[in-house]
Amino acid sequence: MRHPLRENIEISDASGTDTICCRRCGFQYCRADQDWREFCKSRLLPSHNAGDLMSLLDGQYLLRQLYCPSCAALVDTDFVEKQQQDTGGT
Amino acid sequence: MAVNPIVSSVDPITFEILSHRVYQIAKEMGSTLERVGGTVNTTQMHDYMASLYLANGDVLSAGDAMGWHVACAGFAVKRIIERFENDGGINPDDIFLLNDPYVAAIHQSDVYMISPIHFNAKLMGWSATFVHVMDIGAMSPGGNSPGATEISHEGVRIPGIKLIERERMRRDVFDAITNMTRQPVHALFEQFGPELVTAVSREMLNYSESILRKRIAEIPDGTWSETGSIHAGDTWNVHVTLNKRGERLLFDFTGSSPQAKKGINLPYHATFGACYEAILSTMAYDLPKNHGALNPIEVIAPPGTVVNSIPPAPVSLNTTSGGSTAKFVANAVITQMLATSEKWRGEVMALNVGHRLARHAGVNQHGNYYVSTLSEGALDGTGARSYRDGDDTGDGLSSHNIEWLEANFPLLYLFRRNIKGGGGAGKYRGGAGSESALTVHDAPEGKIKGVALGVAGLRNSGQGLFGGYPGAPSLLMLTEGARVEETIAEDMSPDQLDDLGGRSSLLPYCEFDLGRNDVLYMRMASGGGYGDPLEREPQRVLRDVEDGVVSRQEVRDIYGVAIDGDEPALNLGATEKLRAGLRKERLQEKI
Ligand SMILES: [Zn+2]
Repeated sequence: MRHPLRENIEISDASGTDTICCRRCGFQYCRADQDWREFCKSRLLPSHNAGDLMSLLDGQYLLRQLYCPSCAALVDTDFVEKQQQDTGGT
Repeated sequence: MAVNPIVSSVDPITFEILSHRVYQIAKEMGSTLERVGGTVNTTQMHDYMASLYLANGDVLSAGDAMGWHVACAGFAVKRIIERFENDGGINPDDIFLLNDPYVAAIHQSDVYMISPIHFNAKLMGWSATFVHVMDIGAMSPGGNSPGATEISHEGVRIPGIKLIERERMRRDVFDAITNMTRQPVHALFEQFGPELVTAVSREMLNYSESILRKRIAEIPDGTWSETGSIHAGDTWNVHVTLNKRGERLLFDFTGSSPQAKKGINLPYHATFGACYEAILSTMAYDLPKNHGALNPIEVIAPPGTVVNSIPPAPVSLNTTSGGSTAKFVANAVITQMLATSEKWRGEVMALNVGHRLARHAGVNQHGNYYVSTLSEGALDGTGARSYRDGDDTGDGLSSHNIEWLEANFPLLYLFRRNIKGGGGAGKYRGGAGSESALTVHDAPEGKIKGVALGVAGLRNSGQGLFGGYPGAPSLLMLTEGARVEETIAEDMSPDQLDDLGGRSSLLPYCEFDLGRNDVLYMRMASGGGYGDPLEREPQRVLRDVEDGVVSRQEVRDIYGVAIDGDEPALNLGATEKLRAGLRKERLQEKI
């Protein structure tokens, strides 16, 4: 089985088992049945890092980004509630 | 329709001609509605629906219309058949009216007019239209009532009546609506005969269904989920899981919040319609829009939740809250699904959850009481696609003309323009979005009343896709006691809010007063970006700077592009270094 999963991430069977890989550098995140998000580099930044107009969200939300640990391709950007992150961590 | 019908009992040329003719009739129904409409929603916003149905209520052809209303009006036709078939009868000259959300409508303001189509005294099909009616006796002017806690506060509910002529009814408008629906269909039956028209109708449904099923089957099986939130005092979640097996799509809304005592709730058929609309706009946009595209879908929504509310839960705010959010999550899971297909991944785009809008009501400069809509929401920036930027302004509906609005209502626009720094960053940028501000002008009572609507919650705007940044949030803000008249008296343009002073507050779903020297500021959602901004072609970033839609700080910190000088010029060498530095920074943090 080989098909894309999203921009910069695909499922590949090149290694013999279905593996989630970086489309840019070939980095293997995990097996196809695992959650690739847990294998990304992640950063939590103040909301205004997404632009001045996002400063309204400061204090309430954090900007969370996930990257390929090998080539640093950005694969996901989202706002997450600050409270959850303060208590639960990431 | 380039492909021949797959199940063929009609020759392909006849099929092409008749199926397009049926679609054209549905389209013309919509244009006629727009021409005879009496509100800005109908005449300028395209907030209407006109479609044709088979004798049993299955969708035959949707005109250029919102898909969820197409599906819901189909439910309405079926309810009318059940109610009147053996009690009162369904006769050639009947027109039925229905607006009960717990029968088939979405909220009471959206009124369905449904008319049977007979040929030689035999029921052959139905035509249905809806428009948003401005006053239906609800608590708040405009039909959306932020203060309603149960449906009885939200105006009249009609589960289906035969519309009878009353003295106050305008015969010309009534005739226009009836003429636009039945006569062209009669001509079709007369010219081609009911047997052939019926065969083509069935074939149209088969055609859409068989192609859609084939498309679904080509995509890898899987499960995808998404949650959207509605903020209206409390927070409610709309959660969906899409299960794709073979050629079937199952949308399961289990896990969504219990229904609210606020009008954000969706009745089941509206949730179903939201999924149908999502399919129409993503996987079936080039197919005839009919019941065939609805058959491969199944929708589970637990009763008593925000996506399958039961009486007396109020619903009047739902199109801009539960509805927007249900459409967003349905589209989002389809997007995730399509991204796993080599053939379809190019079609995906970043999505907006919804936007804000406002109703306004009062006495106008001509001395008449009025209720109307500020349809700025149609000026959202759209999300970026996998191959191009979003549109800076553009949405499913359209917006009113400002000069027309000022001529009819006691309002004065201070500005309407694109937002700088609004569009979500990405390999492809989200649409900039728009911002407008207005005040009252020449209002006999010195003020008007407003109702602020739309998916509240700052996080709810354009969502970034696959690394793309979210767009700036939409917001409605009221500034009281601003120096508007003073600025105009000084012959200056009041186009910078910061210079006008006054006391500002953000407006959630609420009613508000707009008086002299008060400013209503409306910022519409900017679109979300697609992919990694460090992969954006530097030339595109330069053009964004020249167009004034991104700030220099974003250019450097988010896009990693070096642009020098007051006359912006690209520095490619410095850009490469900047981007290498930003990538290194990303990896320095701990997991
Ligand atoms: Zn990589």
